[in-house]
Amino acid sequence: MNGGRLRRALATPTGIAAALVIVAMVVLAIIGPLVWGNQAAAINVPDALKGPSGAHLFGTDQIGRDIFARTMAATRLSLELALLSTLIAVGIGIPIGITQAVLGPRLRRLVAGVISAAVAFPGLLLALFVNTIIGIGATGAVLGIGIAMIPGFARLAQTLSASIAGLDYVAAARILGISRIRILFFHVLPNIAEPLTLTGTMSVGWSLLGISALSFLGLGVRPPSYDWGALLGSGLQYVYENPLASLGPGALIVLAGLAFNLAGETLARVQGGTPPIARPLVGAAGLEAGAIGQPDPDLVLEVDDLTVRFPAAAGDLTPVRGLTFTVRSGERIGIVGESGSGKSMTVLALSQLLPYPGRASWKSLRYLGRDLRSVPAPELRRLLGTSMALVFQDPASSLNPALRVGRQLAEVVQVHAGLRRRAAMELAVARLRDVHIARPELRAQQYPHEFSGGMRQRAMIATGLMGQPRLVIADEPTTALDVTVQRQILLLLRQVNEDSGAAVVMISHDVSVVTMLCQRVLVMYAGRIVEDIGTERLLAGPAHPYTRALLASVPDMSTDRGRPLATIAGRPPALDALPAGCAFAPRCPLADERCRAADPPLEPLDGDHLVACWHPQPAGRPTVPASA
Amino acid sequence: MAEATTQIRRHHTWLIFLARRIGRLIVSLAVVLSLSFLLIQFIPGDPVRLALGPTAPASMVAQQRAALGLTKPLVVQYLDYWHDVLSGHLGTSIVSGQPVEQIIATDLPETAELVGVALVFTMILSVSIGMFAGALTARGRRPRLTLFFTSVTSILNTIPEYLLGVGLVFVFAVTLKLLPVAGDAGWQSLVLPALAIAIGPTAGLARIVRVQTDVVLSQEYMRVARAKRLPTRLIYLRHALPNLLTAALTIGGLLLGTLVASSVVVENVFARPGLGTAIVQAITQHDYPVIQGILLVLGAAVLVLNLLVDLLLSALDPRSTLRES
Repeated sequence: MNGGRLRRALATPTGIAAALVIVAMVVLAIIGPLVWGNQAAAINVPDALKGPSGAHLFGTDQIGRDIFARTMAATRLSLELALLSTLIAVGIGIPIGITQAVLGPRLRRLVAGVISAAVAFPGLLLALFVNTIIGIGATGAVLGIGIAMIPGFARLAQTLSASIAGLDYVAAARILGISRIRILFFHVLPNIAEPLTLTGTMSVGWSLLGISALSFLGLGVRPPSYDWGALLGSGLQYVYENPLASLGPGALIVLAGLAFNLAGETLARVQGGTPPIARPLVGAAGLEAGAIGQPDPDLVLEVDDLTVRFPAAAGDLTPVRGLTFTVRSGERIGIVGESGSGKSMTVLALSQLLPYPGRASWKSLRYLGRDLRSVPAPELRRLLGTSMALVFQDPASSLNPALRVGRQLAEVVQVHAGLRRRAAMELAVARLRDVHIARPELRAQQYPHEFSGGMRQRAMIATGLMGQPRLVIADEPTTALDVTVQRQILLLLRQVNEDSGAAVVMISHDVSVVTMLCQRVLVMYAGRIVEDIGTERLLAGPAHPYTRALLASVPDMSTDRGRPLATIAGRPPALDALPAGCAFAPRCPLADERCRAADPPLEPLDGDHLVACWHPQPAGRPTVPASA
Repeated sequence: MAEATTQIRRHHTWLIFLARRIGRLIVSLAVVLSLSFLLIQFIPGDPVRLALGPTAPASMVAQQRAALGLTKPLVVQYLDYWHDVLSGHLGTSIVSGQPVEQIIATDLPETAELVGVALVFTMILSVSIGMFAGALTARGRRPRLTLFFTSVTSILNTIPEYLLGVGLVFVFAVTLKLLPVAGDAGWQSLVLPALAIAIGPTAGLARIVRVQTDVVLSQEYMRVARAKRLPTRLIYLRHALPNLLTAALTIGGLLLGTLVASSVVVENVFARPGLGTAIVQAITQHDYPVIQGILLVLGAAVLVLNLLVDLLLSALDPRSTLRES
């Protein structure tokens, strides 16, 4: 055991408590019989079965012996027996376990099978078996509990050494022709010593509890000897007259058992290096008052100054910074940007699904003409539940594995439209057919794991169609799928948009995917929109250097395959270290002093085309190619 | 067509799984039976003399030895034991002369009732408490509650069942005088022993359920369930719970063996009739045929219960069967 770790464990409150109790127990074990030994043995029949008093803290037993003195004096025997049986378990279990690492495969499987069968068998039955053979008494109890713990140690040593044996350096040692025994002692054993010590510490607690149980049942330590378990057993006979006679020794058993367990757990935690829980800051951002304005019936979504904040110990992180945009009815919009640019957080904030501890604030947020903050909660649930559909990136994890697919579709209308189960199921089958799933009646009865990836994503889209969708938000819906399936899903989204008139907002890191489906593209960088541009102009040559670089990094038919693929030099800035001016300036070939000093606002370039850049580029062949 | 083949294949893997599990059970049962037979052989000295005491006449000892078949060759004894057990005879008590299978037939239902009630307590309490705590502390919310929950559960999980029994007796029977301390009088006398057995496993399982809840709640399908704007009740009960249950049942199944063992001890705390009180009495009286019989029955019960849990799990989560093969 390494000294630094022990010191770190001692720095935790539980570590200190456990250490103090263990030290106290050891001291008590040494001095107990010396200090209280005589008093514990003194028989005083007239004083028999007295309750607690100043002279007898826990009262007296049937022949007038002081129970407190007996409890204190019993510490030594109780701990000794626990240590002994732990030594037996360690001494036999660990050799059985680690020899596994060097056995041949067939023998290894046999031993492993025996060990796992023995581990699943309750230890107490094994202990009773041994106890019967050895006979009632301390020896029988120690051997019984010790043998009962052998399978556990063997299993632990086996798993640990198996993980070591698979490591490169053991393989290297084997190739070098080092003998199995040497490998065991010089390579395997030192590396598993630490976790085994931890378990050993905890086992002292377990065996103390086990031996006390046997003594308590009258199968362990017998008169004239006594341990805590035996005292507990005899005290229980007069629990009505004097509860302390049993609770006193009982409390010491619990205390000792807990202390050894806590010590082991604390050491394990220090070893595992669990990070301390970050304390979330409360009240990160006050919500600003919603701006008053006339709702536009043609607009599905109006976002003004949306910001998402994550409180953190070192200062808030803001993955989305002051976003303003609108989505018109029936429009298909793409949001592109590298990972970490805030695309997903934007849509999660819009759909009111931000993960804890994220918070969204905005000047104005209108959905279908209604200020989201003014809609009462139950109505908001129904509004969003029936008209806003969400499709996420990984269809494998989007469907609940424990529920039939049809049911997952049907529940939407059962909850929000009050449909009966059968009617809802019929609608679900119809929607599955709409998204071109063959044999929808059968498929609706199946579980998600019986669906292919593409089918699951279709089923997710069908879920969104169960209500009256006005807005379909798809977050990287094609990323987890292969190319042919990607195309089908894009076509399906387009069909949904044309058939139902719902607006589609699709997020992707891939410009080429977005341009296949969308009429307008929002380009995000470091939590801001840097360009809001129609797809035609985008393909003709965007104005922002970042958009140009993104576009240039997509290979097409004209890409010279003899040259390395274009990439954007540098990395996006970390959220907690944003530069003062334009966030893209450190990577931008056009950046000058002004770019580094002031962040450019998102302003109209011509018509609907907005750009946030001090040096917008004219349409045409990209003049700023991405650096190779 | 393709679906039909998948059906057949799935059926096939399940049969292999079943056959393998039953094979393993038979081997384990044979081992337990052999150990039970060997028990009496391992005892140093003369087991019959130990059982009858030093004052018993030599003729009586010899007669009992013959009755137990200890005079025959070891192989014959072993084969006889197999034959007897398979035909339902577990021997005769040296002390009372009663057939062991009769003793077990009276005591087994009592123990089964206790273990059954304790299991129901454990599953219901641990899943509801663990899920509630998990929902409250998901994604690092309420760190202080998390600390409190883990400390309390780890303490309760460490306290052995017989001490919990003593504590429960003190609180409910001695101090509050609400429930009877001992004996076998209706459901009231079942509550405290069942709680004593269930509290430890409940605490341990609730911890696992809490962590599992945190894991399940951060799954994408839970976000989808929220995106559907389902009521909270449905989000937790329909979408989260079934995904928690597999994990809870896997561990809960492993706990069954522990519950059986705990019942042995707890029956003695509460002086309840059952296999536990019977075996402890038999051990103190050196009544070896009874010890052999009860150990055999308890061991077999644990093995069979473990198999049933495995089968239940494979029915609940068909993927687990496939994973194994």
